[in-house]
Amino acid sequence: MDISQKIRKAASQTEYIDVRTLSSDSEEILVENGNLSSLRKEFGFKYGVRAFYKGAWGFSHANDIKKFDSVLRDAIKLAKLNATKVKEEFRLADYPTQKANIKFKGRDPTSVGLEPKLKKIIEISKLLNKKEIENRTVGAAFAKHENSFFNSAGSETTETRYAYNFRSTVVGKKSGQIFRAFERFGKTLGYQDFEKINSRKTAELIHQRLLSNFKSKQAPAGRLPIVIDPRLCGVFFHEAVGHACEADAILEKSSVLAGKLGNRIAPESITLIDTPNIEEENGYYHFDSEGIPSAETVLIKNGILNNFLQSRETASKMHMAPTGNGRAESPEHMPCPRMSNTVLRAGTHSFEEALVGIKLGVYAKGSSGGVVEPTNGNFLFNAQEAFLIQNGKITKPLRDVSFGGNILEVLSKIEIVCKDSQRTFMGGVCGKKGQHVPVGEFCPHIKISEAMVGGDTNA
Amino acid sequence: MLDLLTKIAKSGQKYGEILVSLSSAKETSVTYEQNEFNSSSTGYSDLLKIKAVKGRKFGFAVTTDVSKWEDCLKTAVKMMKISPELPSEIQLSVPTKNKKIEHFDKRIDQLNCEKMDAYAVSALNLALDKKLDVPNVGVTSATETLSFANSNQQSYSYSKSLLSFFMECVHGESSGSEGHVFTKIFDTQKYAKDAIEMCIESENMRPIKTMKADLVLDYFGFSNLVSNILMPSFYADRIQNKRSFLTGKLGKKIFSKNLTITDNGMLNDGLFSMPFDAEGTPTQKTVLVENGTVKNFLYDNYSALINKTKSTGNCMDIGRTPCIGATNFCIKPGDLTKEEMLESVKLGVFSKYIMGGHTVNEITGDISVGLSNAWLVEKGKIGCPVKQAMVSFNFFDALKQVSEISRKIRQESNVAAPLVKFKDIQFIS
Repeated sequence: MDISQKIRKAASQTEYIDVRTLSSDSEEILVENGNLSSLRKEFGFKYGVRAFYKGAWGFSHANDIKKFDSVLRDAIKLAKLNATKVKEEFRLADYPTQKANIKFKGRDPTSVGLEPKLKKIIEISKLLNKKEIENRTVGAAFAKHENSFFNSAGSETTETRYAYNFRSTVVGKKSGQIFRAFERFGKTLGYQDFEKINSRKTAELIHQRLLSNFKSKQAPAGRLPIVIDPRLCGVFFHEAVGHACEADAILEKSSVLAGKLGNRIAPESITLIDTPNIEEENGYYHFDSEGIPSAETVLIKNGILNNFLQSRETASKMHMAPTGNGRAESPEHMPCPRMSNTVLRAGTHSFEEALVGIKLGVYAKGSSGGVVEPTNGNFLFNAQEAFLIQNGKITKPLRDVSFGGNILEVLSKIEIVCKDSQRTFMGGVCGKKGQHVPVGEFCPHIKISEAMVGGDTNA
Repeated sequence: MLDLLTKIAKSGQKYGEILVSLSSAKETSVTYEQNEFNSSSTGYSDLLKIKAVKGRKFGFAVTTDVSKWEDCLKTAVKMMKISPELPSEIQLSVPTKNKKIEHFDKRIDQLNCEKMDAYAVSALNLALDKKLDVPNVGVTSATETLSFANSNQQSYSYSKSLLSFFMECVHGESSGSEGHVFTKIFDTQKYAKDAIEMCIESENMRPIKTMKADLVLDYFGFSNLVSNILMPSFYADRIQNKRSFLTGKLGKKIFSKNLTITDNGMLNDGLFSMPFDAEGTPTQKTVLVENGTVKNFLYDNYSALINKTKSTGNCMDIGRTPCIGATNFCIKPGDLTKEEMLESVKLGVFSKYIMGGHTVNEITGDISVGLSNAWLVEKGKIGCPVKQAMVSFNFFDALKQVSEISRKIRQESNVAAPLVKFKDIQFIS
């Protein structure tokens, strides 16, 4: 079927049409306590059609390509119907036509049989079979996604993405208490990278993390200085700042950063960038879901709010340039401004310097999740691991540490940005408006002079 | 479609036992953002799932292209052949009947974008009349037909409809949001009015001091913790794999005597009511906790065989073995009104929502979460809205001492829950 020809023919009925298709092939392996829990292969095809007319979108999607003509008609019909509801028309700004066919590097992970992957997962599971570990789950997922984009202006792009992720959680009991530890990572790389995973080192890391957690105590609660590692720093800037920089939240006035472009919102040491162009990180891509090439966007420059993340629609409404951040989980969802990889520019301090002067504080590492309310700027994150800082030294392990606060208040309290930026490869996904997209982070350690830490006020 | 599924199950019999399910869905939605129309959409999706089983081995494949069922079957069989053996056999459900469940509302199926747009516009206008901004209001209708067949000639098909509504209002720093999901048409304006009222009542937030005090959690806050911590603790595979707080606690009284919990797949008007679970076992009402004593867990066929018991009809997906989930997870209501519960609070906080429920430790029950749309309560009276408070406590410990439960319950997910009051909770601000 010549999709380009069909939409060029139909374009006379509207101002603009685009079509996204996704051919996907994915696999999942999950082993619990040495027993297979999931061995799954999924393949399929989806497509979504958007039509734009006098400031309004019509959108329709399906799996069955034989229904394309009726799906295209539905999208155009909805666009025209919706145009009668739009109060203020806007013109979708033009964008140069793109033609490309890109394949991510490496060997398609779904072209390799399941046996060697299953073998490695079972191997790691066996290495985690320790007497102090009561429950262990080890799993991996592999995917090949062929995303194609066509629009009525003549763009035709195809991007074939390979990705894998690894997850493991262990649970142990000590002195009647239950503790857990986990590890996860993911890359947009082919199978050859998964093959290189050292089963022994991976199992040992998780095991040692659990042993450290056995010694952990309840964290002190209250307003304390906190040093956060590159992973948690990435999650903090993604959740607490990145979402507030998404242009749809700015236009909806549901972002605490609305009206603050050009204002100082952070110390001069803070320069925050969104960029899809970090190969291997989860948020790596060449074209967004609107066919716009990926680009680096400086969100905060030396503490000053500098830019927002745009889709074609938000860029048109704000009379700014699209930034290549119009992303959608799949052709079944409408694109909207989303982050890719969140990068905090490295500072000049060492990690040791960040600890100096802290009489009582917390060192928090990794993330087990977080949430933010962009409307009012409140956020909360849970650390994967944490330690007490006493008189400038890392001392006891702490458990279930969370830290929260208000974005603008906490940003103003960032005292130190270290020079040790690291790729996090957390393989995480970001959820917004009911859809999830893969994202990554590249950040250093930072010190916040004061943040709310959840724990026990008597600890 | 049942004929096709039965044909697939028969075709695969030369390789082993086959389970096949097909979901065909249609969805329509309308959203308004920043006080103005944003988008409307329609969509159709099919998902064919095939599981091949032989003794203790299984393989599973999924496709969105029903016409490629033969490839899907071959893939599932191929995976079954390479899969390692499980400790126990995988049993298929046998042909059984169950009562019908009526949760298909033709009126929802007939909703089009224009009708749904009218719901959204009415809600929006209510907020604009009060000079509030509306970052988001959305209405979604969905209908789904689920069909299933297996090599044991168990088969079924049923249709379900869902209407969902959500609105968020803001005014300055304050915000309010409400939503509802139901299998029948409902009055969306009621929830719009609740969101507006919440936003207005959240103005002029003030911080509270770090303290230990009472916490009264409204439905959304409480059900968030229940679904992330309590509910999964009852899944039999987590018990068997020692990944649950309830391991070793069957028959023990570990919760407050005021707590009674059931899982009921046949609940009248239950959002997650279904005649059969994902592997074709009839659903039922299972008493999990009675007056504080743990009575039962939730099983699918595989986990039930390990414990030499019967499935409770709680298999949620044939893709994993086991794969257990709750249907309608119901906390029995108490006998107090919300007003009566607040009256007895000398010092505390009433909170609608919590932030970060998905980050909690579901095994230990330790939580540190933020509160959202919360109000200080002093000497039984609701006072100022609270700014930026967190709470830290152990959820299982808190459930041991819960004494006040509201008589009104609500269901917006697979948790049907009342308001509850917890005493002596650590607040951090």
